[in-house]
Amino acid sequence: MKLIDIFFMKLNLPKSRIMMISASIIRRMLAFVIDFLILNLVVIGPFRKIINHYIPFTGFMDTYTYMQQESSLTTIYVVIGIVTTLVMIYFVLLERMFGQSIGKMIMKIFVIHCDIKIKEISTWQAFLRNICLLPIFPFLLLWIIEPIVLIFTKDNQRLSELLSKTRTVQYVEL
Amino acid sequence: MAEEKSSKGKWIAVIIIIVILGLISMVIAGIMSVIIGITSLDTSSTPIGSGNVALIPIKGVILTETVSSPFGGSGDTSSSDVVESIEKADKNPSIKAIVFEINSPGGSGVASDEIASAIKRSSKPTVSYVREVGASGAYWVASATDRIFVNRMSIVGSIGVIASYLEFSGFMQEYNITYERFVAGKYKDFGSPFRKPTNDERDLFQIQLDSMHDIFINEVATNRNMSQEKVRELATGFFFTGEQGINLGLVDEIGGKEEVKTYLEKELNMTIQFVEYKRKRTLLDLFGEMSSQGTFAMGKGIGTALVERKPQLSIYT
Repeated sequence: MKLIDIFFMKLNLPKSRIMMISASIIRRMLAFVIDFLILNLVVIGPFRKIINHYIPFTGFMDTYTYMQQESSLTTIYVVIGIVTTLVMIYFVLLERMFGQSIGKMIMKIFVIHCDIKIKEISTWQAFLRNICLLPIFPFLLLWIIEPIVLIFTKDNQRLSELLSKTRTVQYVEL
Repeated sequence: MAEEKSSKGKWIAVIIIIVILGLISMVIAGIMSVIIGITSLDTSSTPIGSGNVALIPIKGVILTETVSSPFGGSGDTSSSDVVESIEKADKNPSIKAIVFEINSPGGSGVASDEIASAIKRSSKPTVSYVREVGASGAYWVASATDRIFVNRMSIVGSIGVIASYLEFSGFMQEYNITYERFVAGKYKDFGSPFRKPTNDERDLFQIQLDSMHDIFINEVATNRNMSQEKVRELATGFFFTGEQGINLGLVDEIGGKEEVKTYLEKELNMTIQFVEYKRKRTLLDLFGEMSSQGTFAMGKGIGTALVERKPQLSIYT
């Protein structure tokens, strides 16, 4: 052991410092893609046959024309309702319990309260920050508004994050 | 060590949540599939809307209306649904032809006539292929298409009309139960199971059946471009095999779905893909139907006990 090592050990100095910064957009996007793939397999997958049975996927225009003409789309709306509920449960439950969905766990990013003294976010906050997942007006507008707000806010927060007073962060070692 | 343990616990909790969500999805999707009537969960089958030739199944008894059950479809064909499918396919510009997959022993004359008329109104080429049975009303439907394919052993023809009902007068006599008859119009209670029909009534009823038979014969003759005399000779109500049907001019070719595909590709000069047209029942439709049928059945039960004396006399082609 060198003398300098002994010196530092005695002083008990930290070897590194960990800092919390806003999660990078790339990491957040990748985390969302991972979550989407998991939900596509687990939640949407079982409904695929029903969806295919009702909506033609031969092309966007075909599907759009079909949806315009078809008057009995109640079943599709029921499926959308069930899938949305399960997707919301996934995000709300995991972010409420662990501050992370699976995608966020893999990408090592966390959801925290804006007030860092409060350790966990509430269920209502978890719901509000994921409200853009509801496929109904006016929440659908958030798909356009959210990325714009995310780019222009200081802490890279989405509009629903601002409203729910939450942030998505990552830890960096200095 | 403690951190490692908590991380392991977290992943276990996450996996449990995912498994529960997956199970909920599967159970709900399974129940919905059964209710809607998507029996096959094979994702490789052609989805609705991805082809250029409409395939309309005509299976089971042909009726004007059918009621599906949450424990499985009725297995019969409703002429309202088929007519709707034909009209939709006819209006759809991406659909180039309409094919009927027939496996039915026939059914209501009115329902068969409704479907046959809709086929004739269609502006697109129509083809039918008979699987096991295309008899009576189902043959009427097939005859309205431009070309009929059959299996060698398919049952076709059976051009005739049948009507029947159960008659309990002997049974009632045995138990000393009398039937009190009050009618305005001497034939009003014809078909009552509580008395034997008179000879006069039998003759009159036979005239009606013969008249329906004539309509059936006339339709087949027109549809198949055959003489009425020739069809009348074949219209004994007896059936023919697919092979005999070709020799008699009742059907055109031996073949099934593949042969129909080849024929249409040649006729239309394009690659074709079938797309199944089926009446899609929504959940609300289904629940509405179930509750209205239930209420109707209750009401009918009470009504029958109070006033109804005349049973349904069914006439089938």
